[in-house]
Amino acid sequence: MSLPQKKYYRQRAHSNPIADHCFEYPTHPDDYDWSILYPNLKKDEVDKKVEFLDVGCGYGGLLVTLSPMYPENLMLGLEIRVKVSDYVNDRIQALRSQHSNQYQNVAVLRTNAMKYLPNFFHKGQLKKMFFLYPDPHFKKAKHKWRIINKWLLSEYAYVLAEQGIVYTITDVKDLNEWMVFHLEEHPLFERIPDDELKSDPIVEKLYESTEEGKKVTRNNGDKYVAVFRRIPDKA
Amino acid sequence: MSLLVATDKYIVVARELHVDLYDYSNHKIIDIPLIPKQPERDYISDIAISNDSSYIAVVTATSKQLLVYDVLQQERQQTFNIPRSASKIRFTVDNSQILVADKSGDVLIYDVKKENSGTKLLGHLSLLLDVLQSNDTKCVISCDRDEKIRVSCFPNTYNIQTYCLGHKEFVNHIEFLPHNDKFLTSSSGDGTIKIWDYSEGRLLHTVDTSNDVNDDQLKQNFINIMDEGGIEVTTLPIVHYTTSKIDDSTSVLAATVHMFNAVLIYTVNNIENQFSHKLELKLILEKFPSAIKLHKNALFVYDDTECIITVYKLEQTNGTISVEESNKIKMFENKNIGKETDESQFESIKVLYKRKFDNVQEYQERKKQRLEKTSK
Repeated sequence: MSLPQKKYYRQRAHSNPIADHCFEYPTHPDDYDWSILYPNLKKDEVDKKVEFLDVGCGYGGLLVTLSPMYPENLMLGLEIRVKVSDYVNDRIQALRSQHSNQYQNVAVLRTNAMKYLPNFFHKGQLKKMFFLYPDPHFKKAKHKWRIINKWLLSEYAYVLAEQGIVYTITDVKDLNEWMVFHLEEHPLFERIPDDELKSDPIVEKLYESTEEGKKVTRNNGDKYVAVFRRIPDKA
Repeated sequence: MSLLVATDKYIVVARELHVDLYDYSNHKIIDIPLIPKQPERDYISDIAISNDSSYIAVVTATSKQLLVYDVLQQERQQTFNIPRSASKIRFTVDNSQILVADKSGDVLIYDVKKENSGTKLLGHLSLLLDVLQSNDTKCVISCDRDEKIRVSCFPNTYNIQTYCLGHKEFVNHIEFLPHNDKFLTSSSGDGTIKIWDYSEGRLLHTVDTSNDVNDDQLKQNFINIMDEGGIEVTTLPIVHYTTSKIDDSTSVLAATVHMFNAVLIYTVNNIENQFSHKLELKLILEKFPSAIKLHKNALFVYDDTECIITVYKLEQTNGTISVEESNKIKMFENKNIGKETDESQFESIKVLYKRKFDNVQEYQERKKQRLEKTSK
């Protein structure tokens, strides 16, 4: 099986996350059959739960990079666009067929992360969440569509374990400031200082793993990283 | 819309921009001032009475005002302009604040005593249908069109305690189990009433009204008419839902199901987390009611074509509940006001369903053709 060609999967960058789309989602996380996404787990691994979540995974570059780095952890990419999520799926299937026993821990799901996270994940299930080059939704009226905001952060805090980590990167300075502002304001998150990030091998991968990141490099754009930790409620 | 609330001291009905406040002997009509130049006809979309019967709050649909009246003084206490149409208002446990659940998915809180108060507590990305504060004041619970019940800590609502997930359609009413408020009950468009350990988000019991409706013709008509609008349904939704306590181990739950001319009256018992329910009675009505409300051992059924409340008394004898019609109360006497039609009742329930549109299948078809072409 050969890797999919991106030209067949292009789709405009924006999707209205608030409209009713036709999504299949379980009523409760216990109702979801994860063996469809991770069909070849070893016997002692079938009870594993997704721990890394790439929200808006685009063409799946980060998942493919992290898969061999963290073979013990199940990772999932969420992508709302039909063609793009299908590309990632075809990419993973091709990688699995080309490399036996590899890429079994990564999968993609087409869903709306702004609405359905609690349907898929239990409280405190996730260890890491990624928001890489999210749609900036420049217009003020569209700010409510941004994937990071004060209210959605409560949902992310719910699915994240305490001490879990949120990674963000963007080439849009205004969006970086917006994300930092909301994450710093939220009582369940604290920023991890830049010098502490040096020991985290994931951080350097944020810059170049994704198609979006490579495009920014080609255009000599800036990249802004901000990483946060889920902390307990002090109230 | 038509609304009914009841306490020991008052029965209150709202209709258009009028409120009939009945103290079990006299009626007082409160007219909500009409705000000029509204794009659409304005009306009261929800009404609440404080637990101590000292305040009434109403919220209007088009002018989007939250008005609070002091019941004894019969005076308007506060007027708040709310940002979006509200679907439900409730007083907090201590009666000092009002929770507003709105159609954009936000819960806001207003201080009865403070002008211009009003802050957002939390947001769903889905139309909200009900909101409730727990009696220990430590949680605010909200439910939405996306089958979800969310339990947030209070006042630290940024911290989500849990979700109660199990309904298959919109969740339109939530109430604590009257004989034990450790448990939450909910009603839904999926035709079920569910009982939850809400602090854990655990489903403990389901009452499926479709077992007790047994009107296949009615159900099929509903399925067909919804199908014409591109909406797939399998059962009749619960429309009205109300609860009351019978004794320390028994609650009564009453519900109506879309266009089924009866009130289903259930009793629920539990031994710790083990629940059982029993259909006590199908109270057959002449027509589908505009509102129902249980208060203590009274069931109020409001019909707004005649503006009449029929009062039924629930009696428990030898472990079974009997229901007797006791009296009728004429509301809005000498007041000429319009009627709600079956049509508007249907429209208000229809918008809660999600239309199915499949943009994946078409894509998969085209992809298949492409792959067949290239493999040739």
